[in-house]
Amino acid sequence: MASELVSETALILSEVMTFEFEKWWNEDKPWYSEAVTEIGSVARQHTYWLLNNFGARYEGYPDLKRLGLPPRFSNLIK
Amino acid sequence: MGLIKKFFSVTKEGIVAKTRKGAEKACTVMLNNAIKLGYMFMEEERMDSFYKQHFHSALIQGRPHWSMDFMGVLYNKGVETECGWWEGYHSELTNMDDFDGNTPEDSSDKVDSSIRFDFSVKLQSDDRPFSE
Repeated sequence: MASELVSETALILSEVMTFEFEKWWNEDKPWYSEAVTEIGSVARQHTYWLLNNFGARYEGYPDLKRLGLPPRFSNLIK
Repeated sequence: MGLIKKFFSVTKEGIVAKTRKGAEKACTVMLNNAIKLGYMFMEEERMDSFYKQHFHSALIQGRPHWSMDFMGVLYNKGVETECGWWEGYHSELTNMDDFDGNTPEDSSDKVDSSIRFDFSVKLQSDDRPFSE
């Protein structure tokens, strides 16, 4: 899995989630900075794990499996 | 004073922990959507792979106010964010002979956009809000 795909995807996820988080809390809260940092950390960890373990999770996609597509996600991204 | 400090410390940790839980759920949903849409694209176009641009745009597909242009730049309510202009992005797009230029908003593919980003924190009796 290309590391750039992971990092770019994580940044997109962080951007979206931070925006949603800021609907609830703003920068004047004492936990704001730490929480936003946590969001970025979660995005990186989950993106890396989910993309790299997609093959193992492939069984959970019966509709996709039916298509006969290879369970190797790393080969599917150009 | 020590008790107050401890009280605030516990509360802050609790809020961050709940933020993490909400972020984990949101990440899983968005990534699964992107993977699913990628496969759908492959099936419809009879391709054996799909492009990074498809994957990136699928992350936010179906979410109100979010869009992505053909350069991978992310927009919120039409305002450009700092996400995008990835290195090498354009060169990859030049290989997309069949790229139709559709933005996520043009597609009617069904995705799970029902998830609410639950970053609210229910403050319990022992979890009072910080003073402003």
